[in-house]
Amino acid sequence: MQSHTVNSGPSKRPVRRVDDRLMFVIMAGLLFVVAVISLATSTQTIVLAPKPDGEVVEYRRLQFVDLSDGGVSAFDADSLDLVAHVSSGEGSFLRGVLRSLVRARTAQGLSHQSAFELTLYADGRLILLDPETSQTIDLVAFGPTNFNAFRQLLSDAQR
Amino acid sequence: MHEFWIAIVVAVAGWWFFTGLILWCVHLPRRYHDSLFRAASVIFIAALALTPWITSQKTVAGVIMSFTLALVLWGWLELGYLIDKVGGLHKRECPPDASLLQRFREGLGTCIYHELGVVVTGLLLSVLAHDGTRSIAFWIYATLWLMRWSSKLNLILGVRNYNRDWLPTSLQYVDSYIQRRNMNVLFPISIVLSIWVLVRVVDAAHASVLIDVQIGYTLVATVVTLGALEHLFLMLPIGEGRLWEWASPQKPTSGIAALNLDEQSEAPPIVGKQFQADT
Repeated sequence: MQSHTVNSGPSKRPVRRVDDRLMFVIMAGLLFVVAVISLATSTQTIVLAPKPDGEVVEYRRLQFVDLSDGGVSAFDADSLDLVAHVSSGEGSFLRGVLRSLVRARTAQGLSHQSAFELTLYADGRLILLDPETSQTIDLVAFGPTNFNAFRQLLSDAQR
Repeated sequence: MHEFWIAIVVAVAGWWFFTGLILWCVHLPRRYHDSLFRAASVIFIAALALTPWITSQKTVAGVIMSFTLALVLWGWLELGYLIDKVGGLHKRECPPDASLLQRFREGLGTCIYHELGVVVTGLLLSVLAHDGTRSIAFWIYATLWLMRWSSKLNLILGVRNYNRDWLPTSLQYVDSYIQRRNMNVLFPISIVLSIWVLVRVVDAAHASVLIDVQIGYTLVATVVTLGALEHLFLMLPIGEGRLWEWASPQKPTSGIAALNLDEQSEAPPIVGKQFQADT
């Protein structure tokens, strides 16, 4: 509005445009920064990098799917390859672990759908992490049979 | 759910900001161009050096960084071309009686180093990126790349509406390569392909259960949409110049006025004084 009153000839308009252009670039930049920050923080709950406990030997994001026949299938969440299938009535340890992790998600009102992360460290520790709730389960604690039930979900990747 | 809306805002604002910033830089007085390009090149090399790390971050922040990375790489190429640092073999006007093939060959000659730069940067990105061509950074870059080539081919074939004012004075000759037509054979193909890619990307976003992958594909889908819109503006009678009016110099009458403006902005304008001088 102000420019209108001062503007008596067309030659002055460009001068104001220079300022306006810079203003708009700055505004676009601010909008970008604000949007980036709000996007990054709105999904802050997701901790995807495993804590560095020794070197990571194998790592996989696993998506477990309940099937209508009572079976459970594990998929590689990145490649969507089928990693393992547990028929109805089998794999009680795996089911138990998953149930407890999912229960924690339900308690926090989080999505049931996202993947879990399984990491094998050089010191032999096998950790299942729920990135949604940041819950971790150290699978070494449950004995070799139970350990192998999850270990297989990694080694199949190398085949 | 609201994350996806924010992701769309991020993509639109990022694209808008980088385009505006480049146009603003291009229309700065020429004497700034050398240092500007040097600074941009440092950022470009730093971005390439950070590529393996950025693309290995499987988080939302990592995806946003990948998106910004692609824009930075692309922005450097754009800037280099528009301020005349990376161009082509010659800067001849297109001969008025040239055939389509001649126009294409001559036109390619004016920007061949720039186009090679685009290809080489794309290859570098695909090699350096953690997931190669599957990384979001590469997808964003490839979208910008293919969209740009498609619109350039459209310009050669002929478009209804194209904003000459965008071109800095040193690149006004490019206008001679651009046909004015109400439609061309490529245009519908470009639009249909963009929509097909958009559908595929949105599908991929739905198929994933991982928030970072979903956000990544949302960013890609938004950039595809923006590219398709830019194509549409080439054929719509209104003109996308409107979108970027704020970032380009005001040209009320003709290209001559543009020249005047560039000269005026040589001296950093002090608004009050300028008014005085004029009246």
